[in-house]
Amino acid sequence: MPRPKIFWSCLALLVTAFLAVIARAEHFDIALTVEGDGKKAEAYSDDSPPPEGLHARPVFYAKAGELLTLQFLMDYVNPHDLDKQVTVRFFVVSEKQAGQKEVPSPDETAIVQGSFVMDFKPKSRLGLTQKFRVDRAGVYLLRLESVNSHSDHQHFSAIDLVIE
Amino acid sequence: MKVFCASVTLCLCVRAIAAVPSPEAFVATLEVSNGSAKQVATNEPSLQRRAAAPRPVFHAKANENLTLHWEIRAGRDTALEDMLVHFYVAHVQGADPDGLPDLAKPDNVVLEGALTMDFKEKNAAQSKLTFRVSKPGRYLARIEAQHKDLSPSDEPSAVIELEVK
Repeated sequence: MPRPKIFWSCLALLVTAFLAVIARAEHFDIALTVEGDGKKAEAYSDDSPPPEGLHARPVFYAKAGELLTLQFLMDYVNPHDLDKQVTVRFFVVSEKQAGQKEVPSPDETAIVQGSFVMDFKPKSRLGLTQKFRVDRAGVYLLRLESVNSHSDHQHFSAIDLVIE
Repeated sequence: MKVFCASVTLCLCVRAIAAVPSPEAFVATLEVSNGSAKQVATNEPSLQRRAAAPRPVFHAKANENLTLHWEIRAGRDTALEDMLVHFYVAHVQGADPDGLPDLAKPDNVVLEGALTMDFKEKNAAQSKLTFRVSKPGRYLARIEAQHKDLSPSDEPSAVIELEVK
């Protein structure tokens, strides 16, 4: 007995969804935190594109000149592949408003920035803790991201800093 | 038969020795710079020679924008899995020239990071970070790599002293 058309449509939909999940497989678990003066904000892995990701960014409020500590831990969770010479970078740069979709590029005006180039294999880890201060009031973006992991998407984590 | 056994034993010894990387199996490079000056350090001398080799010193001002750049590169015949690379800039208390900072005290740490990676076939890990030191004093910038198959004296490391005024 031939299968009804609806069966094939459902099957096609399931296969498409499965392939989409495979294509967007997570490569990195990220935990990003910023803290200062007893307050703390945390953010976790998000995907780009879109550049601003799929989740709303947490907002951290601090005073100008306050000592802040950023901390991140990246775990490579792809169980199969080796990813060679991946660039991971982080930065704190000025932005127009909290939650904006546009991601400013890090340049010499960055409050703090850094990059790593390394090979990742399953269970590889990268972590950093760093102190910094933002001297001028304004809105800033703290973002950690993979730049050239060999995939159709990149992973990042970000927090908006509102400095008063 | 005796010659055969001796040959096998010799081969096993040679292979075992070859499997343990020499200090030259890695090149550790560390650089601290500001807009106008820089200081570079490569692999620290062995523990025995360290006292005779003064550490390079970089002079900086408090709150000056500084850049830390490090690289650990494997030698041609090196192959070590899951190597731990550890780096930091931290305040050193006391006047002991060999003294290392107490990283357990958060107030001492300006920045500290680590990564794990397989090193083989001349591959490398590197990083470039901007930072500022707000309090004058004596600081240490250091990159070191650790592995269970390396004795402490064979672990590659590079260090620069940071005098902040």
